[in-house]
Amino acid sequence: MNRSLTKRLHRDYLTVSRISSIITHAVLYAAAIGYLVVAAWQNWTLLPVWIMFALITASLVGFAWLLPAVRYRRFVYELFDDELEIQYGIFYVTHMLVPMVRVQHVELESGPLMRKYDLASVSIVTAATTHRIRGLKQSDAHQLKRRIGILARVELPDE
Amino acid sequence: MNKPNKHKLHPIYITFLLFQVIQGLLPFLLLAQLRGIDWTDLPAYAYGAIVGVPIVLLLFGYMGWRSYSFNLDSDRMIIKRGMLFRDEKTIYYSRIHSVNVEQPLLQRLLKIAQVKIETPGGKTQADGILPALSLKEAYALRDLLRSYEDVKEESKIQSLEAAVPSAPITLNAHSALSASSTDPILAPDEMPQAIRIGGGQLMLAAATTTNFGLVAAFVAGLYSFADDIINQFAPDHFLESMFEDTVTSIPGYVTILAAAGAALLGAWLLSILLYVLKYSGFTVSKTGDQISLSYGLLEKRTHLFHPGKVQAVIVKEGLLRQLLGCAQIELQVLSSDKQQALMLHPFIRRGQLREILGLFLPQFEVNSITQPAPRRALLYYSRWYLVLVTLLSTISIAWLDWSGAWSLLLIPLVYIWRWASWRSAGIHLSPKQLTMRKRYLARSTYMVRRSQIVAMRVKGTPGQRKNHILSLRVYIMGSSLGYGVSCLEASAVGTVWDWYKRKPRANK
Repeated sequence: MNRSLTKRLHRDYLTVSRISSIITHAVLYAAAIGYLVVAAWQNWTLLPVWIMFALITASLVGFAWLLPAVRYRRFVYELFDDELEIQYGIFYVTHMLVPMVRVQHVELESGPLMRKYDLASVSIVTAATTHRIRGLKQSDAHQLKRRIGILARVELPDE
Repeated sequence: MNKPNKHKLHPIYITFLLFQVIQGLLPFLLLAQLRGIDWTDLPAYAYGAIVGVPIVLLLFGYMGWRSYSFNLDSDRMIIKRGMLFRDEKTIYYSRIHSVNVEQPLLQRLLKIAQVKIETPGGKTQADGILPALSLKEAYALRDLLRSYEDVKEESKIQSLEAAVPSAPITLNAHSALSASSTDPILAPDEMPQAIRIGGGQLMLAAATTTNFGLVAAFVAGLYSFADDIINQFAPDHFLESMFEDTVTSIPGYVTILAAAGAALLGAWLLSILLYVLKYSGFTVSKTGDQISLSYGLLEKRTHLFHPGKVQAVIVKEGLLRQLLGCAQIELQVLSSDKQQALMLHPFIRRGQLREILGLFLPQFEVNSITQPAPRRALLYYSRWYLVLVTLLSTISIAWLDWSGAWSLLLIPLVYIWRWASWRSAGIHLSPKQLTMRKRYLARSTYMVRRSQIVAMRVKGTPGQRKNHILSLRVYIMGSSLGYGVSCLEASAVGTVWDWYKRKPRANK
């Protein structure tokens, strides 16, 4: 808990998560505009539209601007010889310790947007939990996967 | 059996499909009967269906039975099934966590049994299910699997357990008995150790259980069923108007109180009944290396597993039971029934805990809590709850005027509850085991061995960290939620963290 962790997500992941959040909000804006058109045509009150716009904009600022930045700043991890330590969390600062001997398998995944930026997510799966490191460069992700693969096979001598 | 190691299910499996369909149709048939359908005056195609559909189902059942088989090889068993979609499952004996012989109602009525073989990775259903075997065959298979497992035990311990720094699990209970401070008991190999829960003890256990979730589900089911039936005979809104009639004749408060009291009493009696049905004939015994559990009146279940496969021991003391100085012991064993831990003992005096664990699970130690949650953690335990309940009181006073002031009584109640939660929270660390205690309503003590912890999580808000308060959670196989205690002394949590952390290897 007290040792400092050095590895971070790739800076590009910040961009990716912002873009994907903006896309989600664009859909919401489109829905609101659609309603605005109908309301103007049918002479309905326009008050809900302004409330909707305000809410969507607030959520856009929160989820597309602030949240990814804080999340990026708080997320650090490091793979030691025998264990993986991850530190994350916005409200609660959380430390996670996963011994390599407990790792069952490692998964790599990347969506179209992630691929465009040459990023991938690494999921480390144990018998009970899944730990995700989202947004590493593809080469780093592959290297991490391989290293965990090697370390997970190592068996500790009897103590 | 055409080949010595090739086996088939009991032929009665052919009828299973038919029974399942009938079971599914039963409510409709009942409803039809209630509507007064004249069974002698149906159109011809209906009679055709009544005769034809069962024949088709039996045919399908026969084909299903034909294609369902299992092979027992020297190191694995292979279950094959399916006509159109062939499904072949290979289970290595060394990977088996537990073998359960169960008799759900249908199997019970037909005097056969279902065998479930649990291995890690079977997510929602058990990996190996053999739905119909004669009782004799089922137990023979169970014993066979057990004997294979025992042979494998030596090598498995080396390959699996050596990976984690812990001494091999004591396979015989000798060392454990000497370690625990129980009276000398006969050598375990010579005498089968069995604990039977008698009727009186079971009744006590049932009476002190408050299984409200189960009862609520049952009552809801009963209500909708009764509603259906009453609607057949009675005019519309029979229940509602009956309720209103009764209500108008008696003053309001009395009715509500009486109704609540009756509902509680009814729920309690029902939960006793359900509990007794579920756990009647509860027997736990140690045969050879394995622990065997069996219980159930209508649906009989037996579980057989190796003590080394027990991931965690949970001691639960409900409010009533705590007053009586009693507890129930549950075991986290890998099973397809993810939500439910296995019951090792439904009702035990707290003083006997050490004895029974020493007998069945010698690798677990009973420790008392040495590092309770610190005084300043009480703030975090009660803060938001008090804010919430104060808010509720304010709203109800604003809404209901002075009669809403009764809700102020909730504030001290909630505080007492949170105080009790804080009071129970704590941990104890021994070289190989972490003991955690917490209370929601019932007080639970979790015992987890270091070698079985899959991941550890420590968290705290920046404010809590400044106050040196941290929350701890450990994850083990078979329970993805894990077990945790909130708001402990940061230094104590730090010790646990370092304890779980791998030591740097010298030979590298």
